[in-house]
Amino acid sequence: MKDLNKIPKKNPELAWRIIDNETIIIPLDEQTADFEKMELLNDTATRIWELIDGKNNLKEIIEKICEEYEVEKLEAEKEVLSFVNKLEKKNLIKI
Amino acid sequence: MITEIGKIKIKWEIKEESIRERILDHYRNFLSNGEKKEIEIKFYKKSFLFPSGIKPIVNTRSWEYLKDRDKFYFRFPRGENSSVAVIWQDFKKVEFFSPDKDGQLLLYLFPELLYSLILPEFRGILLHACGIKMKNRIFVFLAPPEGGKSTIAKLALKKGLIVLNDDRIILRKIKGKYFAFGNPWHGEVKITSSDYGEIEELFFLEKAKRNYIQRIFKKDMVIQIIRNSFYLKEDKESLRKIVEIVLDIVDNINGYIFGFKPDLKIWKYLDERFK
Repeated sequence: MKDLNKIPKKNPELAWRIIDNETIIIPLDEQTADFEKMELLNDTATRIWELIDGKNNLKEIIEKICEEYEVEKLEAEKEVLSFVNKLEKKNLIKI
Repeated sequence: MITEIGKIKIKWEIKEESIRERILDHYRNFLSNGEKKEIEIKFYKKSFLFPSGIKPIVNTRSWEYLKDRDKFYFRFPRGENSSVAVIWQDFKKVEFFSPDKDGQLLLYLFPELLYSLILPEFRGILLHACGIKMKNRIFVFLAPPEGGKSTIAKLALKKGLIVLNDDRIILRKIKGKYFAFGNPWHGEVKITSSDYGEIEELFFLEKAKRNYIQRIFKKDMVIQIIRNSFYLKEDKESLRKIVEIVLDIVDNINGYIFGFKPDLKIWKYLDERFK
């Protein structure tokens, strides 16, 4: 179980941009000439990605997703934590 | 002598008359008036004593890229007579040392490497692309080697269109808009132009049995542009700058796959699709 008071931070070794409500993330930590590690996030994931700003903790991110997408807290928590775990495994964020 | 390529003015200081004449001839369509310049290149016909202890970041058969605390270097090994370009970190000053008599490196290779290095500072990028001007509209076609760029340029010449370049195109963002520039560093088709113009789309070439246009996914566009860009891949700083610029291009410019059957009908097809 993750400590919801922790603040996730984006890995500085990457470039990203929101284009047409989707986020393209390109890791720069290795010489990725084939860009196999490039990530494309859909619109909800893009909003979570935006909220990972080095200031919001996990609890605040979940609350904001609850409000903005009008979903139950448990559902939002499940979604956010699952997404955050995925990003952490891919070394795109640090918690 | 001042050249203007990609709206970047370079002042060349070359004392050797034969080399200066050669440079003047090579860049004759890209000369500029006035004294204002962004970069100054001084040529010295002598060897350069290289600082010890600097290891190449990029090492190819024909050139090496090195950097220390405040300078960048390109070294062009040729037996004991290496040529060396020393580039100041602010990109305003370049010294080029070469014992060669012909100055060939100043025509090709070195200026292309220099532009790969400096263009990100000018919000620009050097692309593996062919640029054509038709009815005041610039079409930029990206493709890897043997991907059809020179074929497109030859078809443009047959049609009487302006070829900016068949193999290299400079793309720069100026006042919020993207512009494509011709340059002298051509491929198979030796005709180039200093013409330029705003672009609203990029075309990714595919050889086909019929002409077709389809939108390219943004993610694929990023990959295709990066693969067709000139940058110093092993230099992380350079990679970061290029990626940021490519993401901005993809955000601002539409991308299309252009499947083309190589005949003159492509110009009518493009003209009708992009009026």
